[in-house]
This record gives sequence, structure tokens and C-alpha cells, in this order.
Amino acid sequence: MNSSFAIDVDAQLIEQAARGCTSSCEQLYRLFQRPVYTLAYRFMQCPDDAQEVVQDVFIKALSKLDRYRGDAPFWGWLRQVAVNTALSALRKRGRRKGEMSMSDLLENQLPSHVSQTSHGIDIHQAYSQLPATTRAVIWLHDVEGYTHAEIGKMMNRSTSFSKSQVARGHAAMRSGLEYEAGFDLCPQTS
Amino acid sequence: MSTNIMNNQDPSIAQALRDLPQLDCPQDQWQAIAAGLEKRKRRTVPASWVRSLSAVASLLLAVFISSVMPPQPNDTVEIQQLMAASQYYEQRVQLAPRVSRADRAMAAAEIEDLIASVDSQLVMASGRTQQRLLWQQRVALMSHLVSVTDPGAGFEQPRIL
Repeated sequence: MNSSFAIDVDAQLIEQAARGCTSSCEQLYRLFQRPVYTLAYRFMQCPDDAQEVVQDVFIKALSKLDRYRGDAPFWGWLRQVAVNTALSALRKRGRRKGEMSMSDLLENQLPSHVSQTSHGIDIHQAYSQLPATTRAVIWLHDVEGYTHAEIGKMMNRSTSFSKSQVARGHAAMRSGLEYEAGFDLCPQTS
Repeated sequence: MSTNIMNNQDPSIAQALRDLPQLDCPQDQWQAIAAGLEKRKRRTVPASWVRSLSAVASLLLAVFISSVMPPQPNDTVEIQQLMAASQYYEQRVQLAPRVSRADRAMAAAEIEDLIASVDSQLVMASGRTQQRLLWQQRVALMSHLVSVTDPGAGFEQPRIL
């Protein structure tokens, strides 16, 4: 599974940025702004909040480049800074606004207005209506390729927590999509 | 039931999510980031509240470690205990009522930034001893976060495995 963060970066560029070279820092921003914004937006589902996360990620990462040891790919390090920053932003927002839990969602049934695209389904819409924590877990697992154990650790929860969030989130998305699209989007193979 | 739910992961949904396009930031953020970096460079002396917070965190750490953590020669065991304590505080924070006072909300946000910073360092920590020290910092910060988000609950020692 290839993460969109997986971009090779010249070691010299990182060294120059770590020494404070502004144009090298800007180059790193230009290289990684899309994956960072995409991850932030998928977590936050709000352009303003996502842009705030993008700023925080690059300010943190670029001001602490001296802590990057270089024994692992730079993109992996930056991605971890992005994930931690986005999770922290989600926690803060959750406390400010309150977030619906997966149980709330299952009790209230799914999305009443999952829309159809020209291809018959709208996966983005179904995903965006999941509770924030479930969205984050699903994105980290399905798209970024983190293991359940890694996700549990990052979120200070158990491995089972991550597994159940993914399974319940998938089930909720599938039932919503089936309900609206009128066909079985993802038939179970067993 | 839980076993069935655990196994109910859908590869086609995962693939559909992976196929979603990457997104472009609606606005170029570089100027704001460059300004933020410049501000950090200029900030040679931390603000007084940051120093106070660090002092409180250090004090809490010392009190916490000396009172509830028995001496452990094995870093791995101690890390597991600290992770359990951290998880316990995370749950306390999640159960806490929403913070309504602006000063507390601001303090909580700043503590969360410090926790995020520790988390970033944890990713890069190479040795168990370094990890243990970072987990100790995290637990101290989490306990402080609990006291800010839920001051009425009083201090409660974490359950250690």
C-alpha cells in the first residue's frame, strides 16, 4: 500500500532546511502540502480546520528538523507529525463541540442523505458522515496502511478498539450506501 | 458478536477510500507558515505560563513517579505501566464535561500541544530508556490535562496494571 506521503526527498534539501534555509523549507512545504492537507481534511472535514492543521504541521516539523535522524524516510517522519497534530486537533475540537460516537450513529441509523454520484455511489459522503474518531481510524488503517496495533498506540487505545472502529465504520458506510444506492456495493465474500 | 464485528472489515470500501483524489489546500499556506517559523525563531525565552506549566508538569511527574511507581529495573515493564496510566487519563479526559471557561480551554489546548510534541518525540525515540522518560512526561502532562478539564473531579491516581 503506497501512502501519498511516500515522496523521496534529497537529504541535502533536508539538511539545508534544518539549517534554516527558507527556500528549502518552502520546497518541502510544496512537496508535501497535498498529502498533509488531504489527511487533515479527511480527519477534520472542514477546510478551515484542515488549513490550521496544515500550518501547525509544517511549523512544528520545519522548526524541529534537527530532531529528524535520517535513519528512516523523511516522509514517514513528517506523516507521523501530521497524524499526531491532526489527532490532537480532533481531540480539541471534540471537547469544544462534542462529537457523536459510533454507538450514537448506529443507534440513530445512518445518514439520511447519502447522495449518488454518476457512478452510483458517493463514498466520500458516506465517509464524511462517520464520527470523527471512526473517520480517523479508518483513514489511518485503510489509506495510510497503519496496523491496528499502531493505531491503538497512537490513540492511546487498544488494538481491538481500532479493529472495531474500522469494522463498524465499514458496516455503517456499506449500509448507508446500499440504502441509498439500492444495490449491494460491497458483497460479502463469505 | 464482537468477533463478527471485528472480522467485518471491507476491502472494497478501503480501496474506494484509497481511490479518492488528493486535495489541494484552498489557500497557499506558505506565508503563514514562514511567519510562524520566524516567530518561533524569535521566541528565545518561553512565555511565563509555559514555564509555569513546565514546572507544574515536572513537579507532578516527580510526585507521581515517587508515589505510585515502584522502582522498576525493567524499562519495558515500566513503559507498559506508563502507557496504561496514560490511557487511563485519556479516558478521564474524554469523560470530562466540556470546558466552558476560556482560560481553562486555552490551558487545555496548550497542554495538548505539549502532549503532541511528546508524541512526535516518542515516534523518533530509539532506546527504551528514552521512551520511558517520554512516557513519564506524557503521563504527567495527561494528569495535568485532567486537572484542567475536570477540576471538580479531584486528583485520582491512575490504575497501574
